[in-house]
Amino acid sequence: MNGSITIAEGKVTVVNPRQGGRYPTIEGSQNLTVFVNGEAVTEAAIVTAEDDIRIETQRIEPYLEMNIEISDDRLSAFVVVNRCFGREFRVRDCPPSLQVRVGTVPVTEIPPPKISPRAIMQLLRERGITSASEAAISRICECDTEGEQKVLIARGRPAIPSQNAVIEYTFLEKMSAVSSPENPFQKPRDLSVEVGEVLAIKSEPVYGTAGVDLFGVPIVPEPPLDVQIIAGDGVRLIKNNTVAVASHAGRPVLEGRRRKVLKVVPVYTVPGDVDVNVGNISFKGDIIVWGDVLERFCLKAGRDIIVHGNVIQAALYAGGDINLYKNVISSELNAGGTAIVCKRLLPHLKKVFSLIYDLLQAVQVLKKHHSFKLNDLHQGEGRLFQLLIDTKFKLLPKIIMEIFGVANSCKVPIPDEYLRDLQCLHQLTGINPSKINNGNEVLAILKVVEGTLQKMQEDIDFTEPSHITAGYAQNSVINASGDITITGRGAIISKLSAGGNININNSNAVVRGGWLSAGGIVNVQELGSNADVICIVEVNEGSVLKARVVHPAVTVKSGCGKYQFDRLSRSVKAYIKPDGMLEIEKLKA
Amino acid sequence: MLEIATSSGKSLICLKMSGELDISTVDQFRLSVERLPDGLTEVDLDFFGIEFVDSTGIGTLIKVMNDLREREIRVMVIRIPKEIYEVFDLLSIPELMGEESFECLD
Repeated sequence: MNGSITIAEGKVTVVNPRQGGRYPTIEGSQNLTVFVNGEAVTEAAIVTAEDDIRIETQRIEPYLEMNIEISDDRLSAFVVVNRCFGREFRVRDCPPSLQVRVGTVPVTEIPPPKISPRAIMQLLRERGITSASEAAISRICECDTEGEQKVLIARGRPAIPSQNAVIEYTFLEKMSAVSSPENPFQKPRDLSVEVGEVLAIKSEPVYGTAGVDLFGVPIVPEPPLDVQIIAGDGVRLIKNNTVAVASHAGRPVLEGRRRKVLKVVPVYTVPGDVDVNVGNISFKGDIIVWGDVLERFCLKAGRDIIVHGNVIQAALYAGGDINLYKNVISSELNAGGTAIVCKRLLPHLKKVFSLIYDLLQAVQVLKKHHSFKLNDLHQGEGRLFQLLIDTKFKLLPKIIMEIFGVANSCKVPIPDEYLRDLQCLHQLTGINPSKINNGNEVLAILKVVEGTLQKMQEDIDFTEPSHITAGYAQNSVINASGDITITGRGAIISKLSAGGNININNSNAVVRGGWLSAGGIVNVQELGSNADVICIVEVNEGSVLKARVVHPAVTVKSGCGKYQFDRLSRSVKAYIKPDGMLEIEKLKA
Repeated sequence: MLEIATSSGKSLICLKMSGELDISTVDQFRLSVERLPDGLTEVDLDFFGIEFVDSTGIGTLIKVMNDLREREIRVMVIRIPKEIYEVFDLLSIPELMGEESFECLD
């Protein structure tokens, strides 16, 4: 029979085995220590009835920790208290067993000492906080539960932020209220204003109120930003420049990308057709034609042109947008004024700048060459410039003449400032270089070109792009500094050039022949025809051709070559890869 | 100063030039070429002795070459010293007049 161990009320009784049975074992556990004959037992120990066995229980002391947490904005302080109760144990009773693991039973919970308001205030003072919420202090002091307690103890006074001045352009709200995206071809919106009509209201800036943080440091709000209504033509400011009203009737516009100028553009309205009874029109503001623009007539507008009828064998030039509610046939449309010319001139002018720079460099290198004599340059360096321009820089006069060709053939007026500046380039054409005295004269030309380049680039960058929208285009030339959108059946044998995108992507829109060039995306539904009509799309760096269907004989041209489709293709995408090569992605139709 | 020695043949003449081809000698050079007899098919301009050039000299050389070509005479500039060829190259003269017409001394 095996031996056994019995525990009752903390007393351990061992019974030895009989008739070859096994001796019992005893081991300790958490919160107590078992001693056998005065030695602490760390694992199961065999005991006999003769052994002195003693069990000592442990006591866990209560634990209390209190900290202050401060928010990043230094406006809130929290007291964080961690409480852990202490405990006393007794030995758990155990019936007679061969193997005994002695356990404990908690008998008493000992709470940590109470936190006093004084202790909390002392801790706060140590952190530099002088005031605290009494209610919060009471809550902390009265708490008698175990675990973490986080209490907002003190708050600073947040600053009230300043309010920036705001301009509310009331006419813009009116415009968006009357817009009807469902049917853009319905009777057009009347966007004109009458004299005295309010166009914009400015709310004055409001200074915020200073606050104070937990430590008594003032928090000063950022001063508010002020803005001014900038009144252009046709606008008058009243009520201490806080209200803008129309000083004449017309169409209100907000011009400029960074600096917004409020203007009222005069509107010239033709109630019917532009025909012999009306004649050609040249107007600084908008032109609205309620009928057609008929054969051989010309409209020139400083701003937008809106034609509700067709444009047939006519020419339209707009500084702003051109919107044709019907079609354009055998006509020329130009939207964007100077920006269009600038965009055409800019690449030429950049090349001229680079060539003049290289010319000056070449002169310097030659003058320093030990086999090159300078005897003939005493009267002036003209001979050397002439020689270089006749030989190494033959391209320079050629490009200069192209610039003047573009400038002279352009039907949109070029600013006098540009024409005046460009005149100096004549010094580098024909036999004029031989009259140059020294390199400083050429350097001066280089600086003028650089300045003109900068001005032109700014003209392009800071002028809102002008867009053209028409229903259908046939045998026409369409130039826009912004987007060209054909909303109807498409474009037939027309030349389209856009600074932005070309969109001819109605579900049944086609481009049958012609020439397309865009600074952005040429987005067409169907390109070319099965009659092998000549259709060219020019793709430059940054522009992309996307077409659902492309017929054979359509050509994609780029600076580094061209590609002609030899079969019907679909889902076509053409673009210039980073290495400068033309890439055509397509699927077989 | 420019010295020009002419070695004549039936259809080919070689002008051996030495000195400086510049504003002070271009008239002499031009005159030498103008005096060449008719019926020539090729003229070699031997630049072996040329030490300096200037813009007037190079301008005249281009004009002379063009004039001779107009007269359907093949013209070659031969044995050009490296330094002089460098100047021609800076002005892209071989590129302009045809690389095959210029023979540089290595």
